[in-house]
Amino acid sequence: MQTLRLGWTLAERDLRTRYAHSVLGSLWSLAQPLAMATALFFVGKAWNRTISADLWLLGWVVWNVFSSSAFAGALSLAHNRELVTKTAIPAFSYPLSKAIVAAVDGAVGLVLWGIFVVATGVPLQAITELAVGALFAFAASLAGGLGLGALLALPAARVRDVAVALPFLAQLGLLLSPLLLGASTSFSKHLPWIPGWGPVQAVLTQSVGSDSGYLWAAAVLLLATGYGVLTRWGKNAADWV
Amino acid sequence: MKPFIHFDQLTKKFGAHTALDRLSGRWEAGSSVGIVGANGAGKSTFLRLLSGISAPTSGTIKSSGRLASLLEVGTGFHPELTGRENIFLYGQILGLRRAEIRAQLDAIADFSGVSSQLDLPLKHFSSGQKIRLGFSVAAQLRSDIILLDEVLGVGDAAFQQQSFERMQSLLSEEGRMAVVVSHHLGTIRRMCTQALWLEAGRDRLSGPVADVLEAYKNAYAAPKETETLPANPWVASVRWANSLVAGQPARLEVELNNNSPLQRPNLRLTLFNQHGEFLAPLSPVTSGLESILWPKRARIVLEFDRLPLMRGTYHLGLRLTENDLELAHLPVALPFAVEEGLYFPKGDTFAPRLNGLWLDPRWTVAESNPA
Repeated sequence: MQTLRLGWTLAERDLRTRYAHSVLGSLWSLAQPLAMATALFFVGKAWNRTISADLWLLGWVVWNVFSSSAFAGALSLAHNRELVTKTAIPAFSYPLSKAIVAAVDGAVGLVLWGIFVVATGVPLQAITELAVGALFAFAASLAGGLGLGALLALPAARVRDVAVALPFLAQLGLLLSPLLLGASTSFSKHLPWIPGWGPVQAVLTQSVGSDSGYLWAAAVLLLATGYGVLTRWGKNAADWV
Repeated sequence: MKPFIHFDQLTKKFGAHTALDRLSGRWEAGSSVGIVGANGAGKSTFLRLLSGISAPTSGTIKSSGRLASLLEVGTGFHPELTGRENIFLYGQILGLRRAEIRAQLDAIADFSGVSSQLDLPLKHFSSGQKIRLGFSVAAQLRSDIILLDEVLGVGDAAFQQQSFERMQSLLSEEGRMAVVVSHHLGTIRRMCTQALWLEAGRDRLSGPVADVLEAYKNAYAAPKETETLPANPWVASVRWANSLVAGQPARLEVELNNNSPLQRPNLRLTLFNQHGEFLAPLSPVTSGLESILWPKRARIVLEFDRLPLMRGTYHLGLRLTENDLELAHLPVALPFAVEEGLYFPKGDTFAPRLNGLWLDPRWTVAESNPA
């Protein structure tokens, strides 16, 4: 409970201060997914006309939830040196705070996606199916991203190479996500959340089929492992950062 | 169950370096423990282990009761958040709940003395105001065990006294205990009932505070006459030119390493007694010697016709500035001892056990006018 409370406190600090001194302020949380969705829409249109704009947007939102919670979470101990070395905040609270921020951003993206599909005249039944899938994908991405972030947080605090490589890997993952999308969707044409996991889901789908149970299993396993690692060895972070 | 801390064979290593070496002990509620020792003795590492911030390499720690640690005032403060937002943020980081902070908000604001600025971003606060705000939040902690690392010496003298009284008041409540790390022996003496002296990570001595501090003082604070402690590129030496006897002439020489002249310089010396308590400031500018320029490799000499210090041990702090910019700050620039002597030609009627200042005001006695 204390872990969750402090995770929320740190997330609140990040959210309150993120757009300080910017002219657009919190409008940036809308502008970013809009701009990225537009870019991905045109790229996707040129490369694979079978993918619709709403799927691109949804895919980007869900991928962003995963990548933000994973990579910002992985760097969360290294970037909070002062707190890690001077306070007794449980180590898991740090990646958790990043996952909460990613969830808030993702929620904004989902709302935008909802407005977009309604405005473009997608049938209500299709919207409902997509929304249910999207929410599952959102939750799995968040859980998996948080788990991966927690798992990588100590190595990133200990070995700076990991911290340096992570932002690059996040960018690479975003590129691979749409590239592998075509291959992964060959098994099923109604998996809107596939881009959310990008390469991970693509590999899973290719190797074990499109059953989302494997995705959930992977997410839960990552979360449990990440939580366990930080609970067991998290106090070492104060010596490493 | 009454709060306690029990540690057994506690060891902390950083690579080949052993920061703490097999410490064992048990402290119960109602006792406050002061940790003393030289820099690098392992005091802060020990406190971090007790706080649960860091894990021991081997050994165990057991404690019962709500534990709060305050290793630095204002950790986690964000300059873009307002004073009010930072109160909530910092309070939660320290382990307070939002409702507790909300209930104490007025008290925190009053104690800090910055209530009129609470809705301004913290970046507009002075560093002193930030420290006051941070300590005011921490002062609301209602923990059974409080761990403090050099945080009672923050702020100006008035605020230090206010903070100290607040902590004493908290600790006077039944069932509380504190572990206090400080170089300020006066704080340890006034606040603690027991003390632990750490030396190179080992338990050199533990027991009643008076015994431990006396032994520590004799071993470490015992000064060497005319000892020089240059620890800064600007200060070549600080030394007494003669042995020091109360009431006798004394001459202090400070030699600087400045390779070019100093503009609008000032040297501020601060005199502390054996407990690290402030006694008096000394400065050529305050004494009327305001200089526009000091030469290269300046030598500043301070002379007393009659040294106004009682027998005992003292130390001088030193701060050198040029155009109000700090060039050097040595909190302990020169420890020294003063031998017993006659400050007043006819002797005095005191036999002081504590060291202090002799004052020689002009006295008059006359019949008061009837009302």
